Amino acid sequence: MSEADVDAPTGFDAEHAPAPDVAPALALDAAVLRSRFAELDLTAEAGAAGELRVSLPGAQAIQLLRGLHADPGPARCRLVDLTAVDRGNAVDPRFEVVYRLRVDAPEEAANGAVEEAVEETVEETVEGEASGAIVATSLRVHAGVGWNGSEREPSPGVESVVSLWPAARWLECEVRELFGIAFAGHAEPSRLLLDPGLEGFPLRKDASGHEAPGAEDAR
Amino acid sequence: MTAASRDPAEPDGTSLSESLGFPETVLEVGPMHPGLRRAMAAAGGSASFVVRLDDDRIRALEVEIGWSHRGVERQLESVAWDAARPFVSRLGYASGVLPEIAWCLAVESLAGLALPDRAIWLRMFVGELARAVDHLGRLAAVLGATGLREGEARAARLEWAAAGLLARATGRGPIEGFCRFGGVEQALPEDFGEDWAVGREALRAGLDRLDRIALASPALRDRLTGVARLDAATARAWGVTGPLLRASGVAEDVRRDRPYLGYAAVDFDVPVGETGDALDGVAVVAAELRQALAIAEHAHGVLVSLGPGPIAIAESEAEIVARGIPAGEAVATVEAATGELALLVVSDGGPRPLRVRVRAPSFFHAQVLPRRMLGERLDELLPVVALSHLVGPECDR
Repeated sequence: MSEADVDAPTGFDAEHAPAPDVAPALALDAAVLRSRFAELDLTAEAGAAGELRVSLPGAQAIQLLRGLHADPGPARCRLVDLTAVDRGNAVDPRFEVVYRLRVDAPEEAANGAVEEAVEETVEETVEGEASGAIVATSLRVHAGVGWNGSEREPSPGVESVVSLWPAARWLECEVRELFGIAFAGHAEPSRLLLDPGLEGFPLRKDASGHEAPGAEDAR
Repeated sequence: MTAASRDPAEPDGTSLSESLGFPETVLEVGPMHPGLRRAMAAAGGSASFVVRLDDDRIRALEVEIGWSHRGVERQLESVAWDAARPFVSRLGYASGVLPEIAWCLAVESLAGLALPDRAIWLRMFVGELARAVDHLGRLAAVLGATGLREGEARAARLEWAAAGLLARATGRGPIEGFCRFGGVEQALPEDFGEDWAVGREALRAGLDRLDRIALASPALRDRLTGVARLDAATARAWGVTGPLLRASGVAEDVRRDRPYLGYAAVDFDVPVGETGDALDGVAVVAAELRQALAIAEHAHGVLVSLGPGPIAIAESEAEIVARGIPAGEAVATVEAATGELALLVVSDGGPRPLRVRVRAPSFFHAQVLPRRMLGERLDELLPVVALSHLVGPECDR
């Protein structure tokens, strides 16, 4: 398997090493995530089947996702899915952009050397903290995006993650197309699923389901 | 084929057509109705392509999807919980029961329903048989697209035989709804054991013959070796899953890694390819086909040993829905024939789902296609598309 991830730290680099007060943890759980990203305003709770549900404000999402993309330790993730939920006008924030991430197993995230190092720390860590915690194998990040309805699109939305995971390209296009949530820095938003003449955002709760075709089509 | 002969550029960096003064050739391929040609049908049919050619080499490919977008997610959010199933079944090409399983698992997890044993193994049996039908259709499409007509005809006959067996087992067509909340609609017919024993052996013998005359033939090997190679790192980064990811050498399978239903109790290998080229793609599909039949055989054995018993919980679907689906969120992931298919279902406790998101593996496979086709010959487009595990209704939703 090739290690083509340019963003991954190679070798020990004092400048980019994780903060020294963060103990090398074995596995990802809610407590580890909170301590890794202590500066963010996030809540994390364990869900079913090893899934960790994280929610935070949309403006901070990119910091968390960048960290999860480049994490050398247990919190290294890759993108499985990206979508949105519209909870309706009565709820604030109305929209959530949902990122589903898979936690890469240690042998996938790094190579054998790191695995050995992890094994050495097994006993200490298990005795110390995180005993009984549920190990997360996947993450679901809900990034809240508020909208006061005065503009066509919620602003600010969230930042694009295409530079982290190329798979996000079409996924972000789709959310933009169906929900009208813009992704800052997304290079080429294009129509994927809908007719070019269709106006409105069909997956918004206030969409009628019978959107009028645009003027071009009506003619 | 050597790297030099694949390279369309002349020594000074200009392309062949440029050096000869020809304009760039732009071809538009598709969209074609999925019913029209087998190669396109099993390939998902509804995608269309804009191909920019240099001589016969592809220098750029645009994939257009959305031709069969029917707003499935919106429809799922607009109907009652127990009326949503037909929309879900239609996400599959021949294996509608696989997305159906994901839908039922998600709702069952929200409603806290436990399945009777027989329902678990019935779902697995039917699911694996449906996977076999789907994979046989895929093989027929690849063989057709590479011009191996005899192989195509044989694969198509096997597909029909497997589909017949599936219809006999479920008493319905492939997208007519076999699962329900808390169980399945129907048990296997009482005399199905005989049909299965005969059908299974016929399929195995047919596969052996298909191997000899087509899949292991030099014609296919010469044609597909080294074509549209997809390396493991690229595949992962672009969200590729299922047989296409395994062809790239990554041993990931939801059934083994995050088992659902009774898969934890079944011992099976995850076949992988070496280089991720189209030939590996064919080999992985063929291996999974045999494995699907083996898992179905295992499930059938369990069903026989379980004997008679309930195939669903006593509460009917209407009663479950009338009681209310509690507010909450559930993700159910299954290994569909095309790859990792997941449903994110959000309930606010109301009569309809608040949100249903379909993670369609086809969508990701369509997105990575231009990268795989760069520098390939135009001839290879159809076989590679056929092998890309694209299903139009699933991709476009």
